[in-house]
Amino acid sequence: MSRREGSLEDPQADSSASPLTHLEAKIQQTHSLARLLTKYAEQLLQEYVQHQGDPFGLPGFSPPRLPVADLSDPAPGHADLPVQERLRLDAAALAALPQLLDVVRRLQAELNPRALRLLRRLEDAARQVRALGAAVEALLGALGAESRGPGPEHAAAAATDSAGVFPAKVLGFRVCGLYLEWVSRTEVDLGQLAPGGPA
Amino acid sequence: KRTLPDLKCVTNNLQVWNCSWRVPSGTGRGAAYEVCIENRSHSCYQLEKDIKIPPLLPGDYEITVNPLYGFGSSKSKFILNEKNVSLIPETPEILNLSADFSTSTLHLKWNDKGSVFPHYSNVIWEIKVLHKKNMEIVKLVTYSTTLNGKDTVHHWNWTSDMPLECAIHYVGIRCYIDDPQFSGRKEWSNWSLLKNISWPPDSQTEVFPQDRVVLAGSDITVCCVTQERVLSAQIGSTHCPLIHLDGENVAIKIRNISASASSGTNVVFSVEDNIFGTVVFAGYPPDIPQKLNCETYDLKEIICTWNPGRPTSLEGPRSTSYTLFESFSGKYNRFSGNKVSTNESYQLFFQILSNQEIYNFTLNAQNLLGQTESTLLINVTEKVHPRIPTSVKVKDINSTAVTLSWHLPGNFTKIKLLCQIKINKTNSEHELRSVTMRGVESSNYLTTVDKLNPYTIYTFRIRCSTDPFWKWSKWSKEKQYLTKEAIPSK
Repeated sequence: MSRREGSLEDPQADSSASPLTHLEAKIQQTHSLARLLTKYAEQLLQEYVQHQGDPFGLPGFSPPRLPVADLSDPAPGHADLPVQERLRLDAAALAALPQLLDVVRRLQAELNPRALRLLRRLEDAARQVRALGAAVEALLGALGAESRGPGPEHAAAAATDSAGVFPAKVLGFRVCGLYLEWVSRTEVDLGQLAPGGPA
Repeated sequence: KRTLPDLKCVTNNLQVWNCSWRVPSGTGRGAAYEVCIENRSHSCYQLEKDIKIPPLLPGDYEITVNPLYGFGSSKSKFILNEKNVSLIPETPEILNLSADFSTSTLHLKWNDKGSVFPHYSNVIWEIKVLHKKNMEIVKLVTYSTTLNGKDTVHHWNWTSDMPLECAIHYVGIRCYIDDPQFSGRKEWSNWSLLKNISWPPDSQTEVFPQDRVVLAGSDITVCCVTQERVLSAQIGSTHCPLIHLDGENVAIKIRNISASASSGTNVVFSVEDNIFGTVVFAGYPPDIPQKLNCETYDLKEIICTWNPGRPTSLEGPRSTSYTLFESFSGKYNRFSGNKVSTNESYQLFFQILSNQEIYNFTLNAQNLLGQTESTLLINVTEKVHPRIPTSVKVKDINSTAVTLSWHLPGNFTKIKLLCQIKINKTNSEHELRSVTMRGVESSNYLTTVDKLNPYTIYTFRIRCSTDPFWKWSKWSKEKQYLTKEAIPSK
């Protein structure tokens, strides 16, 4: 997860000098939201791992990157794409995440009914990523870039009760990882648009 | 008198003796004999080289063998005794072998063909279970029954500690009839044809058992059914030696498994660029529910509370479920443990039934590892724990007496209430007064408080209990009141 340090103008520090246009303010706000959710996503992944038991979280434990319905990893060449195309991909991924995070929350509610903070974080994440996705969609609209629109309401990830508890744990680990990857990717992509960022 | 060379008499069912002997060399094919037995009826038989005769009573019998044709020698006499006969039961036949993979249990069914036996006999069955790889016997067990003159189907269940999916399991059975009245040799039957059970082959790698609940401290075998080479296996963070089964299938043996955390104990098998796993939930059966208490606030509904006792380590859908059963009414209510958040509040409600005062409760606690129960017999009218009195009001009667009224929700018309009034006068000790009253339909209660000082600020609080006493309600809120001034005396 790469962070562009210092490329963003901190609005609080210098808001009076050049009043941001409404669009720039929107970009700024969405970028801050993405940055916040990146931090929350890191905490969620950590908390999730702690509640699955060894070997989750042990060095060397890296389950395969299973395919997840409607959501793939950011493509290697993502960073080379035009910003609007990247934001379009980000928005599509963010749109798929709420339902996946909800599946994970329901699985964890059975496995870890007493892990209230984990369950609350999963619930918050689903809500927050929906908000971020909507904000990115709005930006794309404002930029005149036509967004992909919400993907079909697919049944959530394949792993459900029938697959067993371990695959369900691995799915949750995967979804939390993808959640972190895509919000931090969105933060980076928005960073390109933010005032002071690279044109 | 000689015995026939290699005379061998066998009986499968004590109803027929099947005797055969070695035919002397040089005898032509199709040689025939007349065999006569000197018993009560001097019976004779014509036959080739084996004879089926009805069973002879204990004792020596002279047998005369007279070659009819195609045989170069003369009549011979021999002795036959039950002692020379072997009882070898017929080879048993397995009717059905089935498996419950979810519990790793084999179900065997066979018929003892008892109808062919003349009288009651003890039978010992020997059942063997083998794994395919090297036909290693994994279980050999004896099982006793009694032949009772009828064909009886028997069942035998066996729970394997290795999941049945891990290897093809074969089962065979043989029997030994221990008939006390038979003086001959008794031998085991032949083994039946082996029947086998196997998990339908699947190209996908799978780990078994899947999400099994087991008793903490027990041993468990977990296997990986795969066509890929398994590199390692671990339980939690501990690596385990691989036990190689058929093909690339492997297993690990976990001994004395520790109680799991909430989300279970992970068992993971690693292949080249993938991992496969299962989760084992190791826990305990429910403890006997402790401090079971049933009481009522209002004689409308009973609330039973209890302490679950030792944690089971099993959560969510695997947690303990409770059923509160009342034997007189036959009614029950259920509570499932997976709704409990961190603050343990185990309680169940039970509607009070009209015309029933005595309640015989059994609280049953159950999870996948066992069940326990606690019982409690109560007279509900003796277990009233009233709610906090509310709507406390004060009215003057005169300068030294007031009426106090309050609301106490509950169906107390059939019982007596005992209430206490705490009277505080500023800067002085508080005074307690008790009052008993009949429960009323309206739940609104009234009493007089006299011997007060005129023109004085008092604080009143009320609490109630019942007679017979069980618990006090909490104190009501304070109600402050200034008594009337006294009328100046003329």
